[in-house]
Amino acid sequence: MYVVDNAGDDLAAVRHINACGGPAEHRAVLRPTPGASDVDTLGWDLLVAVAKPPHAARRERVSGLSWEYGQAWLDGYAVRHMIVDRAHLLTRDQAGKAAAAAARAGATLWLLWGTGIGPRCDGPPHLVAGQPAQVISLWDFYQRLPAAAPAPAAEPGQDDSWPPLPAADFPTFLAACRRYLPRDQFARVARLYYDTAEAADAWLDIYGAARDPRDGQLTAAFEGALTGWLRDSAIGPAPCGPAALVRLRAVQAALFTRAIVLSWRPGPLGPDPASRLPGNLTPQVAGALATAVRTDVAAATALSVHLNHGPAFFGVLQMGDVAPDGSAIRVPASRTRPVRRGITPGAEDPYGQMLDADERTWREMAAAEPIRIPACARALFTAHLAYRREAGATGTDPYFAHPRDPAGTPATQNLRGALRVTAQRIGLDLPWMHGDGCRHGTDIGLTWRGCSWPGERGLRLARTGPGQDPMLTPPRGAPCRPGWITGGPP
Amino acid sequence: MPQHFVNLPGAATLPTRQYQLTGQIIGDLIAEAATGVVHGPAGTGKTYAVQAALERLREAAGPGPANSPDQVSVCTLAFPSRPTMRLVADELLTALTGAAAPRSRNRFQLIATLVDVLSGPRRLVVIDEAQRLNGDCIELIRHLHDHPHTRFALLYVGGDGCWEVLSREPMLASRVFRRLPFTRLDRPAIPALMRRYHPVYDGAGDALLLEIEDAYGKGMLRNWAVFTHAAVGLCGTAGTGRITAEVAGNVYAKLGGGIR
Repeated sequence: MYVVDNAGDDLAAVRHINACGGPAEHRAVLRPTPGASDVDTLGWDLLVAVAKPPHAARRERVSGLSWEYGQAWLDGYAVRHMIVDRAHLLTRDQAGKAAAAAARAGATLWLLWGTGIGPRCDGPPHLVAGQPAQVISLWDFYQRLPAAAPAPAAEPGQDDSWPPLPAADFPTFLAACRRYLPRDQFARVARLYYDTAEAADAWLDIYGAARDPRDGQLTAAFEGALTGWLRDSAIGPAPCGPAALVRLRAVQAALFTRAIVLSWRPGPLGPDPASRLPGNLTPQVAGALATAVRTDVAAATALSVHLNHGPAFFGVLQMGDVAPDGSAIRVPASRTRPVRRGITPGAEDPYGQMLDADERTWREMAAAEPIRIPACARALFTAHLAYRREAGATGTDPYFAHPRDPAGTPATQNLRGALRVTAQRIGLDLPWMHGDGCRHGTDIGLTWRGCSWPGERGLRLARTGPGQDPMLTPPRGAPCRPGWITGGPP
Repeated sequence: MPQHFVNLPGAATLPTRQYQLTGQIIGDLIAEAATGVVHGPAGTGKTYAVQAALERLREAAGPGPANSPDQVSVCTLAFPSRPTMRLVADELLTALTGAAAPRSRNRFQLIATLVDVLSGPRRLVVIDEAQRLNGDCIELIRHLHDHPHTRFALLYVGGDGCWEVLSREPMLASRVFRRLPFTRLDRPAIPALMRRYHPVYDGAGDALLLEIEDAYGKGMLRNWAVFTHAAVGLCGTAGTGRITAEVAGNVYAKLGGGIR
């Protein structure tokens, strides 16, 4: 803990801490509300310091848990430096609480100690928190904790420099690109195409047998694993629609060489179908979710957006399933799957369809490979991990717990309502929030609204052999000039 | 133009150095979203100069959307003696939004709302009679001004003791970007200034004007306004349009015998 001697109450010190950054830079600047001497208000200030809107705690009805959630977000963002402005105005309780929060988060505490010690101040700074403190000058403060580096500027043309890509299907996609694109742009497409195809080959080699030896069909486990791989490695992380389209075509071609047909129907996806291919958990969405105070709501919504699943199976997640850094979630295949009440295995339509959907969802949750969380959203998961740990949860305890009855009541229903509210607040229209009648997107210009990650993108693994998918043998028409899927020459 | 003290008809604005500097200082504060102080004894023309500068600001901006770059929203406040921090927050929110703050809001919510409001279009917050603020109120305003989300210029205007009150707070010392002390008018400049001030002084001799200055004006524009108001009335009664020694003597009688 450092006490920064700001005897002159220098404006430069304020400008410096304003430039120190925020949670994204692993720093938190705590600006105590003037005149508030209670620890509750400082708890709300702590939430503001970890980038929560001031009214969020009240809106989410967790005003009384500000310190618990503030602590969780400090851990989630891995805050290493906590700076307290105007620390000389804190009461002994407030200073002690702030110091304890910083210590538990493993953060260095910097108390900016101005002049004009008020009547509410109980004593010298190094005694307030009951911890040894080093008094340093402002100059030392600037040297030891420099301002945060400015965010790197985006590389010019990173996203929009992709050429318009032809709408040819995967067997002729690369040939069409070669035919219609300039040499340098084709070289870029080809490089990404071949890299992705090689990655797909490698993944398929590692995965092993994709078909059930009894009927020769692709196994449900493979479908789940492939979905996870597409989502987390192959297509989902693509920075833009054209890049995702090139990757998709490469994956389709690689799968086709193994007699696996991954079809893509761009028609129902709206005017720019390729833009629907990348993952939904973008930095913008993660940033909007990070404005939530409740860690369970932020993490569950992020997971729901990432998987395009409802929270039906989120209750099975255990603390040990989530990587400590929030980078991955692994649900063992042996985990007992929750059964929907009232639906018995082997049920016929429409319950049979629901069972099929559940089966797919479960296979994507409990796939062979862990669910990889994009870097921009990992703090959301680590924050909830920290919150649950603070609540005493251990490895086998549920990751998502009911707020009032963690041990007895499943969290699913509570999460479902909270997810809906959060999604609406930040302007997300999650497909699972709509009924089957909305699947064709009649309310959004007949844009397809599929209720799974591949389904949302018009992707489908075709069934081959007996009962072959009819779309595999389309009627052959006259060859024609291909259209353009991401815009084309005028 | 703003109204003169006692709403004196026919009076002109005196372009004193302090009057002209006030406009420049306000422009600087707005450009830098900084803090400034205009202070001096009561009656030296501080409030008039600030109001005139703000009017010029409004006229220069012209019509347009509130968030356009050349538009500055001005909010002027004056508090009663010994205001509380809560009162300052309430009054400021009311002045900024036009609606009274709900009493149910606690201090945190109130300040959060103020930060939200002050992070919008460019603003100039003018606090008149700033000497009435205490340390807590100044701390609140500092908190709002230093907040990284807010961007507004702040001008403290105060009378006797204002600078003493503000300079007691070290938090302000390093933050005052512009400071303009208003002082009494220079005695030798009085005759020329007063002849420009009001037609009633046209042709009046230096000796008479300096006598009025010594007897009543004392270098204070407010005193001169009161004297001129009375003099104009008496000149009208006497049928003369110019001040004379006799009229001046009668004015002294009406204003307490010239005892100041």
